[in-house]
Parts: sequence; structure tokens; C-alpha cells
Amino acid sequence: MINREMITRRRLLKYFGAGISASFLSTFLQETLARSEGLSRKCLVQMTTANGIAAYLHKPFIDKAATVTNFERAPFMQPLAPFNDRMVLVSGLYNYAIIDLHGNEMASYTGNVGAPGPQDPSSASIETVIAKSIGQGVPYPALYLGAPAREWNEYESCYAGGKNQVIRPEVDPVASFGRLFGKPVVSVETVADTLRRKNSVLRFVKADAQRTRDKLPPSERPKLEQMLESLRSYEQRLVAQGGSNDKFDPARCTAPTNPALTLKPRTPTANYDIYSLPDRLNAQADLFVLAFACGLSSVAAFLVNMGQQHTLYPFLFPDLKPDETDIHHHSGNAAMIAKFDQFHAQLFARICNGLTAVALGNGKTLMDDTIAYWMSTNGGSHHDGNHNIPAIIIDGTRQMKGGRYLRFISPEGAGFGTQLGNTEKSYATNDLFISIANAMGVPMTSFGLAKQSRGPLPGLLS
Amino acid sequence: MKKCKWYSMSHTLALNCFAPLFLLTLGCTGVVGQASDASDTGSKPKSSASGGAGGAATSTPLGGQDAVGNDLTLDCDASAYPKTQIWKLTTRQLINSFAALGVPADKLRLPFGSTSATPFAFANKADSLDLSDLVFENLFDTATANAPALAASWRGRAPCLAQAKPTTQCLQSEIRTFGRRALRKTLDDAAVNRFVDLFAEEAAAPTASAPLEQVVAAMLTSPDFLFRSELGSTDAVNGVVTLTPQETASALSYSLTDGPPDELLTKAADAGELATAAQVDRQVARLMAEPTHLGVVERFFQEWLGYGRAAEISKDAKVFPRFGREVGASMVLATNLLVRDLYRKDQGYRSFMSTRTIFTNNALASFLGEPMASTDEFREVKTNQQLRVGLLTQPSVMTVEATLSDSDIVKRGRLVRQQIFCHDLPAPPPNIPPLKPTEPGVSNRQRIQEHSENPACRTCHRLMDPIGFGFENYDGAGRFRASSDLIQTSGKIEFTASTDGDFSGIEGLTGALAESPDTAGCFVRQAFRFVYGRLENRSDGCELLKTSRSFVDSQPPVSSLFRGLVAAEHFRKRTAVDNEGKRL
Repeated sequence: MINREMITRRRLLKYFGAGISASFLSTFLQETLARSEGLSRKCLVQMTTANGIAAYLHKPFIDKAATVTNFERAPFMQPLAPFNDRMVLVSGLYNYAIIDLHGNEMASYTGNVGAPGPQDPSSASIETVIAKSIGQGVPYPALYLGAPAREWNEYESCYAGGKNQVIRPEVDPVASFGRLFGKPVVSVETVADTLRRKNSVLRFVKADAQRTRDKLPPSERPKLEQMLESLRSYEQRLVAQGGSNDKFDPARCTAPTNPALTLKPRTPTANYDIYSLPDRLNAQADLFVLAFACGLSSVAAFLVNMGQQHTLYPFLFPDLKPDETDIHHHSGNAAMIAKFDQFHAQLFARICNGLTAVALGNGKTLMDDTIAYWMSTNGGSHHDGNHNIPAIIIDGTRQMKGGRYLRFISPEGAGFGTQLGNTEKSYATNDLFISIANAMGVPMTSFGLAKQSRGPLPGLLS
Repeated sequence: MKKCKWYSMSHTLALNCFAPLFLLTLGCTGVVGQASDASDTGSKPKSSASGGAGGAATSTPLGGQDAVGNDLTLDCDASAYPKTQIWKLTTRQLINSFAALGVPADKLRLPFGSTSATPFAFANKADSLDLSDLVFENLFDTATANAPALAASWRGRAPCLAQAKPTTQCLQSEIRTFGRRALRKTLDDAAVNRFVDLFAEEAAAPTASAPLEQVVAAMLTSPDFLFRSELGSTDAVNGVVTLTPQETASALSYSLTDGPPDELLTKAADAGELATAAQVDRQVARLMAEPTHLGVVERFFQEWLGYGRAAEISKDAKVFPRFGREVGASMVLATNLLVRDLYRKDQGYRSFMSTRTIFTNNALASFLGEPMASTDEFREVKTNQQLRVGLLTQPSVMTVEATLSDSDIVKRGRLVRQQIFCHDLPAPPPNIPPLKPTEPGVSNRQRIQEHSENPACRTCHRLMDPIGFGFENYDGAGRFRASSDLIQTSGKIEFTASTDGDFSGIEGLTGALAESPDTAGCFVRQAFRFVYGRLENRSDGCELLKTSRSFVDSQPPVSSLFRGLVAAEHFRKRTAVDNEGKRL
């Protein structure tokens, strides 16, 4: 159990405010989060950027599969320097889910080619599989958060609970906060009654849905099957959480005051102001840390952006017009790419630093129980490729030997419109996911399409 | 380095349609298809082209052949009807269904599903209405959280329920009545008794028993509440079933008002007064006169042209310092008011595409630099000359189809090609470098000049760019700007069945679009997709052909189009299939 001091409104306002540095976060958490008496669980952070992690900026950049221990990290990686000894940089993976430009990007974490249509993933994504395997409900308490750059259609997501079940990230930090801390639990008796009543209704509805499903023609049954799957998932969450779906237990961690987050848009009337993107991303990153620290969640899926979004970063390039700061289409412009990547690295570091600041009372920090990885759905020359996918893994659990660069090679002929099976020396992102799952204590030898799935990446797990 | 600018392409567009196949096989040589659902459910095997839409006709608004000979014809098989299906209610429909039972909007836990339209799919597309984990959780929590208040209200209406131990007879009668209202169907005895059993189970609980609340919560989470059924009666005639009266009532009501059947419609259904075309048409006319119907019409236009996003986007504050959420919302409101006005006045498609009327108020007019409305309230204003010509030139549309700081020729051309012509477009290729930065003295037209010079770009961009040129009189925030050396608005329409030709300026472009049988036919398709919640497929050929011919030839009011679509036999009949999916 973790006991926490009160997190005051004022502090949270500062905490969520713009321009709060990672070092402040670290100090803040150290000051406000009291020591625990030994929480032990594994946590997963999965951060996604459509474009990012320019592997070729690292030196030496080699063409052959190899393991390099003494490589020179690119300057944009500086924010992650404290984690060098626990970091593994992987590149050269092939994302088989994407067979055209952006068409199947949503399927990136399923290891499976997506069915036609943006809302139709073929199977569950890896973080969902891991979350369910370790008793985390989906989408809560496993957390799926993100921040739209400007226009983010609701259907854009990389996460799936199963076939045709898109999990959309919560994009509003205030709403995320409300979910996490908005509803304190009530008495044990009330919880028990609530659980009984909810389960009774769920049983009734399940039988009703099953009867309805059986009367439908085959083409319509999947609609009821999705309902039944969602219902079962909800049942599991109820059981796992003891009856209250949105539970914040004051006995375990004092609820912060609702921050009434103000995101300081550049123009007060604008929605999703592009200049507020860093604040919104930072706020979501901090919520992951708070949720982990209070024992509310163990899985964080962080959708920073997707390839189909035209994500603008004008705050990084004050001398350019906003339209010219789109993260897409900058292959060859190493200076710009480095700035994009540095921004993302700072975000990733913010989470890792935050978790490091949470002492567990047994000499360990929360980061010691966490596997964090940051992956791009696109690779190639920083954009628009489904090959040469990079990932940065920071394994606090030290199951992966840190300080290494594992470079694999994509199969010959890799590119859009191709679906190649793994060849002798090529590996798909499926194998990265298998490695992560195993490190999280979820045994797995195959994930997604079998022909793309060879097992854990060679040499990754120590 | 070759430079092409590609539009932002959605997954749906890329995957739902035929064009990627064309691209692979023909290298995007200007081939465009008309999106439709290739599935053949509900239709007999394709017959040879016969009558109307079939054959090699190139001028039919239903397709025929496209510019390079792809057969886009839909069969006309008079015995083919849509497949039986169930629809999960949309978010709006669920909100209204809860409201009809007395649950106010602020007591709902949203979202109840996506509200986004995507190219070729309105937000009500039946096969894409998800009931994923979070949506189900929200619905379940809404049901359980509101059950106590609804149960209390129910007890207030039914004294027998207020007894310490209601009799079985009381429970059966009350559950039947409440169930008819909540679930929009008559519950059979077995269903009623299951709810009675649920009541009894909870009544026997040792603590905190709330049996009626349980019944309410179960009903509001039931598939019968969350979905509407189009399975039809059990007695198929010649392989065709007709929707039951209660299904018909729900279909009419949700299609025309986004809400459950009202009392009159419910009574008509229960009295068997939805059996004939005349009876159905009477109800259709009545529902279309309801204020809620205009909300549905507004949603159709908003999703069709995508202008609702004007209220959500931001612009480059250096270029448009006064643009903000309020301005964007005003633009959306102005277009909605125009749509409602034209619809109420029984205007035809041509008027929607060429109207010189706008709605504006002082604040919006000031931002746009247009004639003042002389009032803070929105009011109708007639524009002169080419300032605004039709819906496509509305500020809301133009500001969405733009970049942060300027107009976007490609996006505007894409909008026309995709939504006005119903043409599919292939996905953009990878590794497209950005356009050259804007420079003083260089027009947008010049910036994308390479699209017409580079063969890799030209093959597809000639479908969009020459049309997009026509909108260059509108800047990135929808403000009118006069033609000049830098603002040139002549263009060309190519690869259509009967609209090809050069045009000059926005009047020329919108005039061509307004008079085009291609675009009028596309409009029918769009309305069909909206009403039926899906892409058209081969089983719809006859209905679409009939409707399109009538619509294109006589240019009736748009309201007649909607009325015709929901009053049609096609709307109420389904191809009968057995439990294995085989046709009966």
C-alpha cells in the first residue's frame, strides 16, 4: 500500500501548468509522494509517435545486423541520458500491419494486418493483451491517453481490444483526471451491494444478448458478439476492482484536488490550440505517473501522434510558419528531425523521471518495476515507411541488458504494398512485442500473424 | 527533388473503395471509381446489364462506366432488397432515447460511440457503430446510475409497484407497458417473465434490495434498447420479409428525427396502421414537420460537407488573429441556418449549390469583411455577384478545406471530387516531400505547379487541383478575396460522365456543379447512404435508379428526396435469410 500526502490544488495547478520542467516534476513527486511499504508489480509504458526516433542519427549507423554496445547516441537522446544503462535501442524492424501508407497504421500494435476500414482492427493490440493478462481492465484501469495535435478524428487510435474493437485514447487531461480521481470509493458494504446488483444486471443482459445473437443472421452476429465481449470485459473489471469501476481509494493514496486544468491556449478561443500541445501532452504524461504511483493502473498507452495526423510543432520552430512545422515530410532535414525527436525524448523522459521519483519504500523506485518503450509506427527515413521501425526501450526491471543498440534489417523488398514473411535476418515488430510481453511476465511465443512472428528478438532479453 | 502535395487521406477512403486497386493496376492514370459496397448481400446474382442503369451508358447518374471504362453499374433487380440487419443507435439517437424516458443529457455518461463521419460513411453507418468496452461501460453506468430516479418515477405512475411486495400480475402488466415504451416493441410473455424473475431475485437479496431499479437498468442495457432491428416479420413471401410495424416505426422515427417513435407513431404501429404506403407516407410527412427533423437534415449536410469541424479547428494566429472558436462556431451556425432555410422552403439541389443567400450577423460579417448584417442576431442576407455562391463557398466549408494559414487547392478539389461527384480517390504514395514554403509574389497555383509537371503527381492531382483552383477567391479562413495576378480561379473538370469542361471562377465552377446530372446523382447516393446507414450495393440498383432519375430530371425539393427514400417500399422490405444466412 502506498500512503501519500495531500496533493494540493495549487501544486497541481503548477504541476499541470505549462513550462514545468522534468526536474520540477521529480522534486514535486519526491516531496509529495510518501514512501511505500513495498509495492511490487510490473508496469508497462508504451509511447507511440508516428514519426520519430531517427535511428540513423546514431553513430555508427551500420547496415548489417549487429549488436553495438559503444555507439554514440544522437544529441536528441540527451534527456534520456539518466537511463543509459537500462536502455536498449532497437531499429530495423518491419511493421507488417502497415501495407499501405497510413491505411493500416491503426493496426500497428496488433501484429496483424488490419481489416479494411479504420475502425476494423483484426485482433487485440499488444498492450491490451498484456493488460488483460496481468489483471488490468481495458480501457480502465489500463490507461489510454493522448493529445490531438489539432484535428484528431475520433477513429484514430492504435489500440484495439479485439477484432473490430477500437480503443480510443482519452484526449482530455481533465477528463482523464476525473476518471482517475473523481469518484472515491464508499463503504465496503455499499461496494458489495453495488457489485451484486451490477453483476445481476450483467448476467441478465448477457443472457438477453446471447438470445438475440442466436436469432440473427450470421452477418449481424458480430455486433452482438462485440457487445458480449465488452460485457464480459466489464464483468472482469468489476471483479478485479471489487465492484467500483472508477475507484480511487483514499486509504491507499490521497486524492489530489481536481486541478481544473487550464491549458493556456495561444488564442483563448481556439480549440486544441497547436501551441498548447506540449502542455496537454505533459499533463497526460504526468497523469500516467500519478496513476501508477497511486496503484490505480499498471499499463500506460500513450498516443502522442499518428501518421495520418498533420501534427504541427510551431512551438519548436518560432521562425517558421506553422504549416511548415508538420512533423511529416522532413526526410533529409536532420536538424528539424532532431528537434522533433528531442521533443518526444523529453516527453518520454518526463514519464521515466516521474516514475523514478516515486520511491517504493523497499529501496526501489517505481521505475525499477517498469518497462517503458517508445516506438514509431513509421520508420524509413523518418517518415512514411513500414520498414526500419525503431524503438527505444528503458527496462527498469533490468531483464534486458542495457546500453545496447540492436540493429536488425528489414526484408528485401520491404515497402508499402508488400507483406513479407520474416526472413532469416529480418524481424517484425511482432517479435518486439513478444519480447516485451515476456519481460512483463506474460509468456508468449507468437503474436499476431504467425508468419510474422518468430519469438522474442534475439539478444534482447538478457 | 520532386515535390507533390497530397491531401490528408483517411483510412476509410483508402480502404473502403476500389481506387487503390485501380492505382495498383493502372498507376493512377486518372481512373476514379464511384465508391459503393461491393458486397452483394440481399441481391440475386448479377444479371446482365438491363434497363436503366445497366449497359455502357455513360451519362446515368448511377455510374454506368467511368472515364476509362470501369463498369460502375448497379444492377436493377426488382426483387432485390437490402439485407436484414440490426443497428446500434448512434450517440445522438441514444441521447434522445434516454431523454424520451426522462433521463436528461447531463445525467448521461458519454461517449456512446463515435460521432465522426468519414469519407463515404456518415456517422450512422450501421456496420461501424461500435459497442466497444468503453462505450458499453458508459451505457451500463448511465443505465445503473439513472435507474433509481426512473424507478421512482415509475412507482409514482403505478401505485401497485409502490406496494411492499407487488403482485406478479402488477409486475407483468407494468413491465409490459414500460417495456413497450423503452424497448420500442411488445414484449412477449417469456420476456416479461424474465424481467419479473429479475425483480424477484433482487427482492430476495438480504441487503439494499432495489428490484425495480434492476429491471430498469436491465432494460436500458438490453440489446433491444441499444439496437434497432430490421429483421422483419417471420413470414417471408417470395423470399422477402417486411419490417414489422414496430420496426417500421423505429426506422421512420430514427431516420427522420434521430429519436424513438413518439406516441402517435407508436399507436399507429400497434394499431396496424403502418401497413400501406399511404399510411407510411402520412407518418413520414408528419415526422418531417417536426422540428427535430431539421436537426437530422442539418446533420446530413454537416457530415456530407464536413463543415462542422470549423468550430473545432484553429488557424495560424499570425495570419488570422481574429479567428477563434467563436468565429468557427458562427460559421457552422450560419451554414446550418442556410441549410434549414433552404430545406424548409422546399428548395431543390440546384439551389443548395448555387444560392446567393447567406446567413450572417455583425460579428461574422465583420470577420469576413462582408456586408454587415446590422444586427447581432443571424439573419438572411442576399449577396451580390460572386461573393458567395452555394453551399460549397460557405465560410465554414472553405475554412475547413484549408491549411492553417491559407487556402488549400488540393483539399478543396478533393472535397468536390469525393463528396460532390462520389468519386473514389487513391491513397497518396509514401515519401512525399512538402511543398515549397509560401513566398511573396508566388501564388498557391504556382506553388503546386509541379503537380501538373511531374507525371508522378499529375496523374492523380489533375483530378483535384484544376477543380480546387475555382475556390481561390476564398482564403484559409473562408474570407473572399478578389481575383488578381496571384488569385486566378479558372480551372477544369475532367474525368466525369457529363460535367467535363473548362470553367472560369467560382460562378463557373458552382454553376457547372449545380447543373450537373453527375453531381445530382451523387447527391442522391449521399442521401441514400445517410438514410440507409451504409454504402449502396447491388441490391439497391433499382431504387437508386428510380430515385436518381426522378431527382435529376425534375429537380424536386430536397425534402422530397428524403421523403421518397423513407417512404419507399425498399425502405421497409428485406431479403429473407435463414439462421445460416441462406436466402429463403
